[in-house]
Amino acid sequence: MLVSGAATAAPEIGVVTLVEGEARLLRGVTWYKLVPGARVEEGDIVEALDRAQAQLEFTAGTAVNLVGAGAAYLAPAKSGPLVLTLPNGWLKVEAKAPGVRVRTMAFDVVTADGIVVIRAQGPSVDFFVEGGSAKLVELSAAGADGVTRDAKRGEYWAKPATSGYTTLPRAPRVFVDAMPRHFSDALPALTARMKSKPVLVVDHEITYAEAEPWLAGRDRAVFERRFASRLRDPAFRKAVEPVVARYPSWDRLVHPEKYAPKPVPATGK
Amino acid sequence: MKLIWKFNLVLLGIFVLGFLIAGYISYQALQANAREEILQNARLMMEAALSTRNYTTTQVKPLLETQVKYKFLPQTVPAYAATEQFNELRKKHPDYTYKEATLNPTNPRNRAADWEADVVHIFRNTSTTEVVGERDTPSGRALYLSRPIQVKSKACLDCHSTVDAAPKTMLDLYGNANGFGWKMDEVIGAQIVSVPMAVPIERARKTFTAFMGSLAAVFVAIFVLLNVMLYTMVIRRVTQLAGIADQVSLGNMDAGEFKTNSKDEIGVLTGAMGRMKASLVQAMKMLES
Repeated sequence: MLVSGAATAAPEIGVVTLVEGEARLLRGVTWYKLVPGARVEEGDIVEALDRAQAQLEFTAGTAVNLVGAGAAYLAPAKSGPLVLTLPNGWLKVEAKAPGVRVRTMAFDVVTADGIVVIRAQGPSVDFFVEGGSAKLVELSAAGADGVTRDAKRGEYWAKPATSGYTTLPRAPRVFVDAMPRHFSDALPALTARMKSKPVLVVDHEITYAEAEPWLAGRDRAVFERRFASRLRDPAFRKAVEPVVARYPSWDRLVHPEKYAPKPVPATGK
Repeated sequence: MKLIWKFNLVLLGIFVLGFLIAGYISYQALQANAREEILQNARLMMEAALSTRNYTTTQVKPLLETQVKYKFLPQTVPAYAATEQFNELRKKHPDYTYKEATLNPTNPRNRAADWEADVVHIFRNTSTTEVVGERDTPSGRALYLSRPIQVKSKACLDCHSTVDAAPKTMLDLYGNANGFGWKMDEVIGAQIVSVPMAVPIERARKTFTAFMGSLAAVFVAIFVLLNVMLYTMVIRRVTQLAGIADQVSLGNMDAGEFKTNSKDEIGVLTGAMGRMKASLVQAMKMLES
């Protein structure tokens, strides 16, 4: 039995106001070409390919600019700050209340009114507080919130994959030199120009290779449920089979025979 | 002494006196004009520098405010902008200089030289708002115009009060040794525009030479013309008249006739002497008979 993965309509939370280079949007299990004016919903993943940029402006006034290669998952948040998961890429956040929580593989960055530039490279993450203030929320071994540290305006924080936290009172040269050049300017407010609502053009259904990083990330359970419908695709299913042990909920879908009720042996009179 | 010599001596005296007076007055006027022109140039350049400062403060700096948080951009500093704008101008006019001479500058190129520091101290110790002076430079004499740089905005103190308050990116570029400790309303330096005097002064000198040359030429022409006119219209006729009268007075009635077609004063005199000679001849004939 395959679980239906059809995306249910989620509330629109923002609009794509700027796209340069190749960027795309994953809604449900389908990739769409990302274009300015596209509305984004909770659960969407925005991906910018190498050196591309995509800017999203949210209804509460928060703006983020993503530069690839990187992706951001707009995690559903019932209330409170906007939640973005950033496994890779550069992200500039200009937050407005109620703020933003950016979840990376190393820690979370929470800001209500700050301007923060974050570079996520898998488990190696660093960020600079350009304006306002932010909090760095460490992750416990279980993935829950750990120690919270204050990150003040002008401070740089880093957590390399193999060592502890470091901080500086300014952005180091290597960080600034690597940073996308336009991040050194304020993000332009472009929402007012986005009057039309373009129809998204389907690119393709997500492949296992594209889904795998999300299935291995912090929201693996969410994505296991979401991408389960793709198991109807033989190619996807074939790619999953060798590693299905990683996804316990999918094993039942890929090998239903293993879970079929065993025939009761006939008993003789 | 002959009439022409007397006439020429007086005329020459008048000409020389007039030449000297005209020369003195025109020289002073041209020099004053040249200096005023230099001063106006200096003021214009000072205003241009101030305009650049204001433009930088009001338009450029706000645009780059975010970038400065990542990397200090001296282009956001009014003093740097004014100096750089002037440096561009100096590519074509190398003798002109502009400096924001500061006693305790952040950028070492703005440190005041000895004579500039003296100017700054004038502003610090008096209420003078402008100092104008002249000084010798390797390229010749120059006029400088100077105005005080006073801390009038708290924005100045964002970078120049204490090391701790200064932008970290600025410290990366300039270090933490200089450019701090400024106080509100303190005169911390002077804008100094230096303009070469050689060109306007040389132009004034050429104008003076041309004017005096022209004046001398006019004087010479007038002198020659007056002499020619005096000789042909007066001296020659009077000499001729005197010669005939002299011969007649000695009894030589055949010395010549007092003839004239002119109706001017000498013509009237010639006519009268002709009539006098005729009367004399007639009287002599009456005595002989």
